[in-house]
Amino acid sequence: MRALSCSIGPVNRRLAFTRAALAGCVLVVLGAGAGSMTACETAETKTQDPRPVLAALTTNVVVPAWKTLDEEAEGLKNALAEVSRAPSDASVEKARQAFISTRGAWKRTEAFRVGPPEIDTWKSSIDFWPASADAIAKATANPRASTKEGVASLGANAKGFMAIEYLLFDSANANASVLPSLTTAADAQARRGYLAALGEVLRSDAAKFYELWNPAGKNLARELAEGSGFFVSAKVATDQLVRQACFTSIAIESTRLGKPLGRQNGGTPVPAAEESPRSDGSIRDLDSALAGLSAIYRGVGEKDDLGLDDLVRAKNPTVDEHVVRDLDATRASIAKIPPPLRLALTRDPGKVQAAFDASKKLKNTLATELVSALGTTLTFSDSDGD
Amino acid sequence: MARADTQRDLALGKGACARIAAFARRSRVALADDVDGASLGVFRAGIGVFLCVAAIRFFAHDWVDKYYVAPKVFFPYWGLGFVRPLPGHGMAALYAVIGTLGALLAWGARHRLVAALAFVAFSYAHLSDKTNYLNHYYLVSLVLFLLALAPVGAGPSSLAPARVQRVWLWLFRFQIACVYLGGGLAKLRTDWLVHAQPLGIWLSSNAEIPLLGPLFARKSVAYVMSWAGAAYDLSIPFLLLGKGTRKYAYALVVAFHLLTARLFQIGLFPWIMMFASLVFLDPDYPRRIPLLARSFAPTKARPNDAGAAPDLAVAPRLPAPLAVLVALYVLVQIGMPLRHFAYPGNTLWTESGYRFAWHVMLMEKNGALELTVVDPASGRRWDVEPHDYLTPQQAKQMSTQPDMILAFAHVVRDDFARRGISGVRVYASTSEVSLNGRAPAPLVDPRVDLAAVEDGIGGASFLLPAPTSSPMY
Repeated sequence: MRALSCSIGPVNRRLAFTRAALAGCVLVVLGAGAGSMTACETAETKTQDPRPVLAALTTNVVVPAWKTLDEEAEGLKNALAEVSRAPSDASVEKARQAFISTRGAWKRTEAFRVGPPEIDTWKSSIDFWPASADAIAKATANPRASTKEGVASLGANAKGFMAIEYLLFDSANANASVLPSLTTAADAQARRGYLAALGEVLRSDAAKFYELWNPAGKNLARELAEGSGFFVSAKVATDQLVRQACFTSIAIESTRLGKPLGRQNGGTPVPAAEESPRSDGSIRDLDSALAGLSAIYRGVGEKDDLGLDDLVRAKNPTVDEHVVRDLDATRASIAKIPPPLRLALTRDPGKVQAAFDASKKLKNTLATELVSALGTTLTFSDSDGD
Repeated sequence: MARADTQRDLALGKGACARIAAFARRSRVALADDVDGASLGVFRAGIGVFLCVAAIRFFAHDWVDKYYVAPKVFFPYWGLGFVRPLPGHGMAALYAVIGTLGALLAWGARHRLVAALAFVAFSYAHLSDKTNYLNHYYLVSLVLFLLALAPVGAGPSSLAPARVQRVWLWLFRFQIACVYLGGGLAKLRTDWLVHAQPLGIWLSSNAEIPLLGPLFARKSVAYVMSWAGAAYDLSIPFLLLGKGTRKYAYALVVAFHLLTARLFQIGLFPWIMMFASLVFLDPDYPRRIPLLARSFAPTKARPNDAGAAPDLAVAPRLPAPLAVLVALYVLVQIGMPLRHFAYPGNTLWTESGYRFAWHVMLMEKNGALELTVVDPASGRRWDVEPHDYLTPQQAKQMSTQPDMILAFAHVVRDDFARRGISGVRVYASTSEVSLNGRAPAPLVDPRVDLAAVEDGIGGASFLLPAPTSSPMY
């Protein structure tokens, strides 16, 4: 009996132990599920579900913004056609206003410019920086560049907003050279044809975006709202919006303020590095981009609805306060820069520096606090992690 | 009285030594004996398939271009500076080779040569840039190394050898157990157990998942899952080994990894672990699967398969050099996950000893980094935006990993020297990092000239202390 207990006892004890351990693990897991299942969906969990936020952002902010761009681009195309037909101070000024308005609509989409890879090509076609004076001169001399197809086939540095800006503005010289270049210059007719074709191509590219998002078109809106299709899930969709917001803040801080300020040039201001130099529109561009970022964060579009801020507040109201504080501070400090930026860089560098500092703070807050709050996978690609 | 104590101690000592010697002898005999080779044959074939799939995924996702062609700068590992991405189409060719080797490994002929080549090719690929470090890439490399040693090739009409020495079976089991136990040990820290982070953040960002999503938003669920996860990692190898618990444990393995596959973007890792854990089952388990049964040559089960004591006189032995290599391998695999204890500070903050240690899914770390370059000769200063040098993926990874920050500072220093401005000082003017939901804190001491700091394995001396605050979520 003793021998039997010696030979079997330890085995049984070991078996009993392992079974108990396994049962423990299973119980813990089941306990987690069962315990939590008793709590039905609460207000807290609802606000953490990104789907209502995505649906609201899609219908309230994203789709209306692309629709606005589409409409503005139509207006710009018509205004440029008018300049082409009858160049005058009035028609050129009207085209300039249409340009400013369309450009604002475009910049306001920057913070939520997400979508399939082909949109990168469309983006380059619409807004490649900087335009090339040489490429534009060559295009002007090219008869094909007066047709929509001819312009569409040009390199990105000879079309889009920057090429139109190049032909419509010369702010450093009070735009004095523009009308003559379209009326009395040797290549005036070619320039007018080129300008009109640029408007048609930009209109066409803007329409591609709207067609992509339009519920009556390819309806990417539905996929963003539901977190399906291209966006795979609501989490991926949210991640993409946050990622794009981060990119926008980096571009504002580093490229659009830091570079002109000379932060990457040993301290010497570089007015040529500003974004919209010929139209003196850099400060407007900055504000429009921030307006778009603010819209997607706060959910303020056609109405005041759900935004990323609702998700953040459900996690931690302090983070939301920080984001709002830094967004507002950046917009306010940019508004204090006396336009144009090229002059402010040398005449009032302190204000540009203050805007840069504020934008840096915003960038850091988004990249650290916002991303952490939302558990955003910021891999910037579809790569794995572990 | 003292003499009697001494004699008793000696006797006890001798007894202990004798017991250890007897255990060692029994282990040596048991490990030298052979077992059915079916499970290791399936293991080899499966790893080959995974390798093949991994290579295909690299092409399908365009990762060859994103990881090796698009970047202008790479982050080699300390001591492995010569391991750089191959130029031109070299990396695409390398991944094509890896895929082919995976298929050949699954096939099983000349498997040692194939596994050795696959080990070199795959390790070269993933060691060429720290940006792309993943624990499961490391695991695949280790397993390929073992496959290059183990006699687990296919026979003329069989997917697997009829018999293999038990030591090989246990070596693979040991390797997989290292992943679980290393991962479990790494979870025994405050963030995981006391703050339920980073699971708290990650689970709540999955609130959309049907049925479970609303639960994930609850902090209590994060706590339960954190503790359950640590318990799972620390116990599952033993539960898989226990005959009475094995099938339930394997069901738990499948459930656990399916859940992680659904919740996190961790690629092949869950699938590899689900498959690799099969190595804990009886070595003849594939013969009991109807679809597989005919893929193996018949083998006569020996009494030893049932655990009976083998005869030392007839049991084959590992060649001495191989035995030494295996022993060294085991020691290294035990030491690597523990080496982070040798470094001061919070490993999650310093990341000293973090890689190659099964620190899986332990951190939600986000950062914003900017360097300032100062030319002491002229006094001029430059801000350096990482995105001007790095891909977004590299910039993101670098912004929170101290050794990558240091390497990036050196890249910038060298770039300035190439542009004719030598002797610059490089400071991390901004290095805000949020760890597991804490308020951002500076990671790098902004007073330290990173250009003058040498890389090494002695730990990062240029860091500020980890924040002591609690996570905000």
